[in-house]
Amino acid sequence: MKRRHKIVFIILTAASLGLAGFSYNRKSPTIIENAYGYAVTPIQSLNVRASEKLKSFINYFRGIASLNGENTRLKEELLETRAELNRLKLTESENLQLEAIVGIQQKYSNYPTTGARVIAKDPGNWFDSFIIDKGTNYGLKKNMVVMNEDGLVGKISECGYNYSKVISIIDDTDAVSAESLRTGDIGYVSADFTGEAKCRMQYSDTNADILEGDEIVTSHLSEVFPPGISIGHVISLDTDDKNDMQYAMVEPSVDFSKLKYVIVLSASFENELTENPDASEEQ
Amino acid sequence: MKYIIYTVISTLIFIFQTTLCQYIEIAGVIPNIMLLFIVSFAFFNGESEGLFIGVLMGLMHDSFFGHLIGVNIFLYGAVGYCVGCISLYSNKDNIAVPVILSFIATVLYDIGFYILNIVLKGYTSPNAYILINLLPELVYNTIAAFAVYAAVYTIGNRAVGHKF
Repeated sequence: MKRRHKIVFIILTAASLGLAGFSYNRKSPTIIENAYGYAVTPIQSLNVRASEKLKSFINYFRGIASLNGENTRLKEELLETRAELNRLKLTESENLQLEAIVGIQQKYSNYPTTGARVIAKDPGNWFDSFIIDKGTNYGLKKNMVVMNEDGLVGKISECGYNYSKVISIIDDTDAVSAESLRTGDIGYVSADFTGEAKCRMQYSDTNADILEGDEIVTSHLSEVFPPGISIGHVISLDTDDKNDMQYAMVEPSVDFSKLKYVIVLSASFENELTENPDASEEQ
Repeated sequence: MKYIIYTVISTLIFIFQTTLCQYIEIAGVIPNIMLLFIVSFAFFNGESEGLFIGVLMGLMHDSFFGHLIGVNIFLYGAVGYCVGCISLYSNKDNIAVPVILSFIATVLYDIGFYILNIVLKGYTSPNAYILINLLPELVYNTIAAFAVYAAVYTIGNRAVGHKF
């Protein structure tokens, strides 16, 4: 290797390491990134919108033949859904009455939400991080929870002016506090890179009753996430050879490769929970 | 001026990679056009331009999608520089060379990415994850390398003779 090549590589390595150190645990994007994002994200947004239009235009002609059958099917489904809705309304009113009797406050109030569109996805195949088209201009902040209709997607890791960077639970090595919906066993879910499923749930209690097929939701212990959001289903159980910890492989409920719209819960749960003495004691 | 044009071109490719490229996925993988562009570009323009484009694209990739800034800067920069150095000894009209270089670059980039982003986070046990991710991307990238090389070659020839 020539001397010049060595120098180039030393500088490159040093610069990368320096930047990595600088960017570790930073709170918000730098002004340069923000300006660049401000210029680039509208084009990305436009691109995605245009290709979606084109796709729906093609699908319009493709779908004509099957429309009739689909219509009857949907009508039937509507009837069923209406019946279900009535039943739920009854349950809700009953619930309200009972709550009034027992005197507890409503635990799962309606969170303020903001809809957002996914405008760019990770260039590589390793991770599923993505960019959404709203940022501090819509009052979004770091660590706000991102979900879609199927369940938990992740959280905002950085907020620019008109874009936000979302880190999904299948990339994030920060664990999400979770519990089994069936038994209430507590554990934590983090990303898994062994290839079986996307996430693993680790739990310390050796007597924990967790079985294949159990639904895993966020628990009330989490600092960032509100309780009760679906994370995924257990597909297999295993034991770590190194530290004898049991863990469950969890298949996320969200299909991360097909995300188009997400919902951001635009309230920060961090403050809420640290102010709440019960929750902090439990942690 | 030259570097402004490079920045604009890199931005366009970055936008393409993050938006429209998602629509040409096959079996869940997308080709890494950015990496392929760096290889083809460095192949034509030599190591210093390759390094510049590599670092620039790494910066874009990392600042928007990376968990830390620096991983892709290093990997893309190293790929651009190395390909630029190798290209000194090669005939620029031979399409086989950049395609083979793209193949090697994809392997090295993915292994580097795996080590820097996943192994260093504590997932040290050997597993099949890297193969599941690497092999389809490798095939797709190698095929896409022909198209990227042809595009860079044509545009490069039209614009300023042999260079961009």
